[in-house]
Amino acid sequence: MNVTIYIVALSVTCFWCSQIQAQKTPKPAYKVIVNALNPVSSMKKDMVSRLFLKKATRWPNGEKATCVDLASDSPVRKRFSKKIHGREVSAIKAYWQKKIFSGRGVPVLELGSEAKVLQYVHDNPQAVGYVAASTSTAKYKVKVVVIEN
Amino acid sequence: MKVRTGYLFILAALLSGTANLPAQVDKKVDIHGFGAWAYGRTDGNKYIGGTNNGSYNQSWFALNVASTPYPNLTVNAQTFWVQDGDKEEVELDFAFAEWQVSDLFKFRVGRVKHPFGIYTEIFDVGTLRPFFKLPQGIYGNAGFISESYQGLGITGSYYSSREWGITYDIYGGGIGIESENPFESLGNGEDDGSIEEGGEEEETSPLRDMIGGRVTVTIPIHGLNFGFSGYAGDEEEADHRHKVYGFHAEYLSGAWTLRSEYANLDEGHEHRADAFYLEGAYNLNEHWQVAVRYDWFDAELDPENVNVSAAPSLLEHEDFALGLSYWFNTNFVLKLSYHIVSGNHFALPEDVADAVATGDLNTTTRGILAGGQFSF
Repeated sequence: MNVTIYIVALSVTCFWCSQIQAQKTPKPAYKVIVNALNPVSSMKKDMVSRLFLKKATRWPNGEKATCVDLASDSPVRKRFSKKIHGREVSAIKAYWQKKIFSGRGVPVLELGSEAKVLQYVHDNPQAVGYVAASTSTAKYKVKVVVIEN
Repeated sequence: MKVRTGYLFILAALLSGTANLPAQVDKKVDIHGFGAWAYGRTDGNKYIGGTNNGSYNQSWFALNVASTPYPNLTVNAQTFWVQDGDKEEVELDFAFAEWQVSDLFKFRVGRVKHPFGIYTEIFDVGTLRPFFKLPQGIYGNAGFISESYQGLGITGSYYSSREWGITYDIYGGGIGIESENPFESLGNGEDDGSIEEGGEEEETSPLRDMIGGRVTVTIPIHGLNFGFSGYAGDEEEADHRHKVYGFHAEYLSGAWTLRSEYANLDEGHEHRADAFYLEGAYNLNEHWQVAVRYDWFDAELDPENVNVSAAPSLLEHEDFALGLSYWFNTNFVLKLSYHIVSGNHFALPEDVADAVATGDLNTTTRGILAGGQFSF
């Protein structure tokens, strides 16, 4: 098999992929929250995605970040996944399967309710999570982070 | 037998200690697993677990444990049970410790999954691919890959603010390469060159002083990554280096899944091989998926050692496959695939030597594989 033919075929495939890509994302119905002591006030969408996929594990100040997800059947998580990762929750679950079975990591902590997520972020200075945009955070020591594209 | 009993003992200890634990225990221990069963039937030759009469004897199960006893330290282990035809095996897939200095530098030591191409690290995980079996050209005991190496490794990743990313692995130590040489069952390579009875011969070639690496690049086109892998090591009791390199590309976005790999094996004048596949899958809806795959393999053996002209098809392989899957969710899938195979490197009769001697070696094989795969 000629390597050149393979590289040409690969290039054609890449070009085709770039042409068929069309992302439709719903309006965000969530807000990203961090502990009130966290100096971060805004984050790039790409950085949020990397943290939740453990592609990045530290905050800009070097502290280890701790992410917390909602359960996979949560509508808020579905919106968050589509908007932040650009992928469905099922694709993210497949991503974690690959990580688990290749010995490269385990998923971020999943909690079953927004109240638990808020409490977790409240209790952990390095934590980051998300809840519905309409959920009140007043009772907790958390702050909403501005997400930049 | 002792090794097998040992693994079972470890598993029993794990289960007895964790039977009531959820998958995630105080963020310290994660327990996962995967398994599969399939029925395979062909019109003659044996191929990917299928036989002429139909075989129900293909199943496997693995248990995976990961623990983080210290913030920067992770320990991973996976035990694997497999029944393939009459053969049953229990083996340790991997067991290693990883120390994370940063996202860019993580040190690994132990028996580590072999980072080569797309599928080597998730070799038997059926819920991460569209077909029940991986393309045989690269992944079918042809000498390209091993499931794990034993030694030291460094891995890490870097992502730029412009959505470019790079993930790398550098590793070294020893590795066992599994390969099947159908000519050995003909007696070729033996001093007398006679034809002997028997099926395909599977053997593990240990490589010493092995070094290797893999680089995968993620580019701003969402879901697309590509990379390069390679390794080389000295084959014990041989005067050549076993060298393998390969390219891979993967596109995962929305309903589409596209994967392709090319690999080259070089053992000097004794043995060379190339393999390539292109695999595409499309999700019709949340549950149904259709898939198609073209898989190609070609090998060369030293004509001074092997009488290739006796059965040149034993060096060749081409598989055109169609697949249909029903995904209950990402953890449970039923799969059906139809294969049209040319060549006999991986599709072989029960008695290769007899088929070659009598001129009855059928170079075309058609078969189906149906089964279920799961993970948790």
